[in-house]
This record gives sequence, C-alpha cells and structure tokens, in this order.
Amino acid sequence: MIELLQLFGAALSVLALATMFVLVGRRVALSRRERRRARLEAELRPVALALVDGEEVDLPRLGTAEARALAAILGRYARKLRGEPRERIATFFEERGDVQRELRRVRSRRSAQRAAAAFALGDMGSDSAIEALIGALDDRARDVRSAAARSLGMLEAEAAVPRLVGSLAEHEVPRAIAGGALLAMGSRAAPGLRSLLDADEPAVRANAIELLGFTGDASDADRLDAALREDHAIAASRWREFAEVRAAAARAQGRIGTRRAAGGLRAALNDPAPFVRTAAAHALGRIGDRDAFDALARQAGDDLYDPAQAAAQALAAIDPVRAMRLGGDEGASPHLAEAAALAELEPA
Amino acid sequence: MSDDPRTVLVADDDEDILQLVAFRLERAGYTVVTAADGQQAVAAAREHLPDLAVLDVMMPGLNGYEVTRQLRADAATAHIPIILLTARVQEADVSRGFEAGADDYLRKPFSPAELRSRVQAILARRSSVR
Repeated sequence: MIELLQLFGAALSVLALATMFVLVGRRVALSRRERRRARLEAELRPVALALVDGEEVDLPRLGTAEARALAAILGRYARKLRGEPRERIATFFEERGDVQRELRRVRSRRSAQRAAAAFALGDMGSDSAIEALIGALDDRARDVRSAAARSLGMLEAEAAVPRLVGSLAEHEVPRAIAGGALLAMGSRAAPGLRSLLDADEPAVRANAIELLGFTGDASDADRLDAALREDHAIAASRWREFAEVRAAAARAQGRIGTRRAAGGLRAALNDPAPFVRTAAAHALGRIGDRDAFDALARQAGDDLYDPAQAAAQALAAIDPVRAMRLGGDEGASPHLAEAAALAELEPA
Repeated sequence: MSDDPRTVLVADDDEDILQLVAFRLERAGYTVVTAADGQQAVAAAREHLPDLAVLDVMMPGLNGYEVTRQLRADAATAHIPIILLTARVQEADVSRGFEAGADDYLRKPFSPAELRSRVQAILARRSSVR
C-alpha cells in the first residue's frame, strides 16, 4: 500500500514538473513572438507612416510575418485617422487582396472567424465591405453582430443607420457598441436618424431621438417638440415605451440647446411620467430658461425624488441668486435647499 | 516657413497618434517634441518653450484641460497656443477646453492634413500679431 502511495506521489511530481516545463516553454515562446512582432513593427513603422502620408513607397517584398505586422500597424492607424490617409489604407488592403479575403471569411461557418473578419474589415476602411457588414448585423452570433456594428461605425456607413438603430432597439447588439457606432458617424448619421422619427416602434423612435440629440442641430427642434408632446393616453401595457420617447425627446432638446424648445419642455414638467419630468427639468437647466423658474421651484418642492432633484439642479443653473434665496428660506423643502447649495457652487 | 524651424510639442498617451502627428508635422518642417502623459507635457513645455502645443484631452495623470491650465498659469508658457485633440464631441467638452485656455480643438479620428493646416493658421496668426 505504502509503495503504491509512493508511486502515486512520484507520478504526481513528474506531472507537476512536466506542466511547469510546458508553461515555462509556452511563456518563453510567447515572449519571443512578442519581441519579434515589436521588432518587425519598429522596422516597418516608417513604411506605414509614409504610406499613410501618401508618399511613394517602394514596398519591399514582405514575408507573411512582415505583411501581418504592417497590416496590424495600418489597421491601428485607420482607427485614428480620417480623410485621405484612411482612404490610402483602404486602397492598400484592397490591392493586397486582404479585403476580399476577409469578405470571404465573414461568411465562414465558424462564428469566431466571422467575428474576426467583421472586426478586421472596419480597420481596413474599405467601403466595399459595407454591404456585407450590414448583412452581418443579422448574424445569429452576437459577437459577429457586435463586430459588424463597430466596423460600420468606423466606416461611417450612413446606409447602415436604420439597421443599426433597429439593432439598438431590439438589443441585438450591446447598446454601447451600436450607440458608439452611430455616434462615431457624427452628423452623417443625422439624416438616417431623422427618417426614423416616424417609425412605428416606439423603441426605435426613442433610440433615434436620443442619438439625434448628439448628432442633430437646431433644425430638429420642431420634430423633437412634436415627439415630446406625443399622446400621453396610451394603453397601460405600452405606456412606458411611449413615455421613453418623450423622455428621449426632452434629453435631445436639452443637448441641442435651442431656446425654441423651451415651451415644449415647460409643458413636459406636467408629464404623468416622473422620468419625463426629470429629463425636462435637466433640459431646461441646460437651456437656461428663466421662464421655467417658478414651475421648476414647484417641482423641486413637491415632486418625487428624481424630478425634484433634477429641478433643483436646473434652478441652480438658471438663476443661482434666486435659487439661493429660495432655498435659504426657513421651511424650504430638502431639494430647494439643495438648489441653494448647488447655486453657491455656480461660478459668479 | 522661416529658416529657424518652429517647435511643436505633441502630447498623447497613444503611441500611434504620437507617431502620426509627429511624422506629419516633421514633414511639414516643424521640430517636434513628444510627451507621453500630462506631467511630461508640462515639463517639456517648460524646458523647450515650444511655439505651439498639441495636447490629447484624455491623458493619464494630468489630462489635457489640466495641462492647459498649468501652462496658462505659468508666465513662461502662458503664451503658447494650444490645440486640444479630443475624442469627445459634446459641446460641453469643447467649451471646457476653451475655458481652460485652449485656442482650438480637433476631433479624433483626425485628419493629419487638417491638423497641419490648423497649426499653420495659428502660428501665422501669432506671427502677424507680434
């Protein structure tokens, strides 16, 4: 029995030693590979910079590792550049056949391959990938859809706006990725977002409105105002969805910041949904609407916690002196006192 | 461009951006000094007294706004024109940059040609004022 245990112990020791050797060997190999990659990148960086800058480059004959290193540098540069340098990077990848290769890989049977290809196509910056990437938003794998959304944002693909907003509304792609992709397009996304303001689904409308707050301009104020006044009398089962549209419209008006929005936002302080009143108060504070002061003071005094707090912040931003006076009164509600305290922090 | 090349300080914690900006500005005839974070940027500005600084907003340690404030607060560096490089596009962030004392801002992803044009424009404006 003892011999058997000794034998078992020895076997375990051998196994542990073998595992250790494998791990050390793997670590050495990885660090060697990393050093080689860093050396190659250092050698090829001047070539990549010259290519991006539009200089005539006599590209040396590249081995597989060199070509991969150069593509990695250019892919990283593409994420940080726009304009002609990005177009040059796209041309480089198109001429090498890399775009075609990734377009084939995006139809691979393995989802990891499809996701990697969708991601790489964004870095390559070629518009020829847009159609395939929009198609990849319907992929059954979430990773593939996410990579496609991110790449469409990088390509500033206006044609993808409606589908991206749909992905956002249906939670097919993480909110941060789909939203980030649309924001990356900036004002180029605005026309597509405007076309979705009449969409049937309230979730699509709410997301389009929210994003229009970042990418739109003062010309959107009237349509956002209409969204803010959408009928409150909706069947109870869908009440929240429609209220989300109004809240998004209030936030968008606040971000765009035109004074034309003030009337609708003041009316929204009477909205039955507390989160719409919260959004309206914040927006009025951003716009600095003095006509809303009394209504906001009432909201800060009487309303539920969130709308009252938002009203307090708005009061401090709109008229710090009046807010201090109001909140300093004996018997002022906690949120009016908060408004006074916040007002003291406002720059004179 | 005068015979004496103008010096531009470029500060960014992203090495790729640093290389891209430095390469473009060097090709345009500027001498470029680089810094990888906010503290290095302040130190480099005090040491080299550049003609212009291009600062990333989101840097570790001191961010671009804070570097701008420190340069503005120091008599030796207060005059240096500053361009902020920012991935943030909200109006509040842009106005925060101007409040800190920046002269211009450029949104990331950026166009190297546009950056060069802005650098040239600001330096030309400064020369004509002097």
